[in-house]
Amino acid sequence: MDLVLDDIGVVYRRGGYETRAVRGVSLHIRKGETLAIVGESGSGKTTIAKVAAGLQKATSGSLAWRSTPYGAPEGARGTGSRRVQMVFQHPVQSLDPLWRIRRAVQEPLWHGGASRREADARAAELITQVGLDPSVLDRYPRQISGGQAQRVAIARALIAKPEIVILDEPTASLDQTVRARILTLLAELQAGTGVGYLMITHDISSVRRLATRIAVMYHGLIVESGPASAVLDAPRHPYTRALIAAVPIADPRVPWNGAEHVARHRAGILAQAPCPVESSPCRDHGTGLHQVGSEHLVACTAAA
Amino acid sequence: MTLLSVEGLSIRTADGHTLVRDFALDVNPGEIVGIVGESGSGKTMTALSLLGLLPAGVSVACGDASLSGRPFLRDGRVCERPNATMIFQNPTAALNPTMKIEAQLIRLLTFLGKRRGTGRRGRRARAEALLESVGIHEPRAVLRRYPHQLSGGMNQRVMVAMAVAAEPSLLIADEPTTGLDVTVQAQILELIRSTVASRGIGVLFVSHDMGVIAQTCRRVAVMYHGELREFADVDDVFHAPRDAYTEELLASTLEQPSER
Ligand SMILES: Nc1ncnc2c1ncn2[C@@H]1O[C@H](COP(=O)(O)OP(=O)(O)OP(=O)(O)O)[C@@H](O)[C@H]1O
Ligand SMILES: Nc1ncnc2c1ncn2[C@@H]1O[C@H](COP(=O)(O)OP(=O)(O)OP(=O)(O)O)[C@@H](O)[C@H]1O
Ligand SMILES: [Mg+2]
Ligand SMILES: [Mg+2]
Repeated sequence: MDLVLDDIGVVYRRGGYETRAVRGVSLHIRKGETLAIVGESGSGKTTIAKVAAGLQKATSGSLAWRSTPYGAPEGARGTGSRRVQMVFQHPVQSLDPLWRIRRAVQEPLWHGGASRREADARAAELITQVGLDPSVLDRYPRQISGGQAQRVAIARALIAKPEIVILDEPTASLDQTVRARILTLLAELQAGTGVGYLMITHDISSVRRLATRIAVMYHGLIVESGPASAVLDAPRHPYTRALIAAVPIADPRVPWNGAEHVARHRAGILAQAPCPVESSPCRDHGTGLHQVGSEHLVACTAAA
Repeated sequence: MTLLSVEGLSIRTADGHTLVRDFALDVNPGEIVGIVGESGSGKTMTALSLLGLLPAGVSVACGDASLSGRPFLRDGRVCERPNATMIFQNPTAALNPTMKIEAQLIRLLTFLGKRRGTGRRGRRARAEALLESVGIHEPRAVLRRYPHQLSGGMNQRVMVAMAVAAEPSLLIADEPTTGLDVTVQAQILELIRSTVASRGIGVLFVSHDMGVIAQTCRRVAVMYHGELREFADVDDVFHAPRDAYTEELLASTLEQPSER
């Protein structure tokens, strides 16, 4: 089943301050596919992920499994579903410090009434698949490294065979060998079970490896979306272009100056890609996406 | 003169496991030295040990370290507080959850102001300027929030701003740009590089991003299973690795968008 987010808006209100964290975002998370969200820090990626996972309600818009709504706009309850699992951005904090790793990993299975033997076997299987020693299961979160916690969180998310897994920066604290291994594992599980992924990441190379489609977020908006190859190889929006150009090159002999690719703002502060037409930041523009290719959409009228 | 020198550092748990074995490295003033390595290889423990911040149940078994020639770790014991600050791998853990960002920055600036005589109004403006230096567009709004009301990357940037503002002679950065988009990352790297160039501080830079290491560090240490496998110029490590693990790491460095 596909998970569909339609015209989602999220506003945080706090002591006279209002943050429009997500503005009219529509996403379609398909079974058997990986939708990657990349984008500016603070652009609303985690917020939209929590809405998709049913952990936070949207201020406006709707959330549905194909056509059955299970979360609704303000007022109605946006209840979660075990069919959706989420790997949080900061893995160490997402684990209960008082629970041993075993308990954290097995917890999603309890709802399905698995026996203790089954649960132990599954936990050991998954922890090995993410490249950890089963002895990790007997430790507490504070006794493992950042990257080990990240893999524990991935094992936990996968254990109950969910239909959709939301991965918020799943490989951020992993070295490249372990990262490659996790990406391969995720791809294999997808091929085997048809699980759909919503993957939020800052790592363009992970996007290249795993994503079917990409959505690029900037200031609460989707500014570009489309098939992974179209967006990566022919980016249209100035922010997407900056994102691809600012990836550091893993060779000390190749000169690189990432900051060069990031346009300068009025006050001399580095700011992301002012609009080529209006020379103002993109956030000043209206919403709406224009088609530039097959399923390839871009918000910028100048780029379209 | 060498800024930081570490020799024979070993870190052990109370129940007898060795987490780091016989680690050694040095950092020159104005130099950024990288540490890469397997997840769980002991990078964070090494960094924490230099500041006397190891968690309960973990301790330095032996080793010596000095900063600008002054020993601060002697035979496994911290004998002085080095003038060093740290950017932690887990940013929210390092910020106080019950204090607004403004209060945390002002507290730091007040502390520093005692040294440098900055007035109260100056501090407020300086707090805003600090946030702008790490690419936060609306510093005023951010100052009024609590850490949990900020995105992961924003907390990270607040931490970077604080660590740099403290004007240490050594900055230890444990994955300072993890979780930031690459455009913000480029800005942070630029901030660290310019601080290093203008103040001549040294940086110990832990990262798993080989691109970031290649582009910011002069020398890099490779760790595997608690051991230092290699410590050399980035050019040598990337083009003539001497260790099998380094080779594996380079081989799995995922395809780069090299077609540009
Ligand atoms: N409090 C603790 N008690 C016992 N062992 C610990 C503790 N904290 C961490 N460890 C173990 O020490 C080893 C080194 O951990 P460290 O956090 O230094 O790794 P790291 O190289 O920083 O890894 P990562 O890249 O995943 O952050 C790991 O195997 C970890 O499981
Ligand atoms: N509980 C909250 N209260 C008020 N504002 C919030 C809250 N949570 C998030 N925000 C704000 O909403 C915006 C979007 O935050 P979000 O965490 O979704 O960003 P993100 O795209 O995940 O960023 P990052 O890449 O840095 O993790 C930010 O401006 C953030 O400060
Ligand atoms: Mg986030
Ligand atoms: Mg670490």
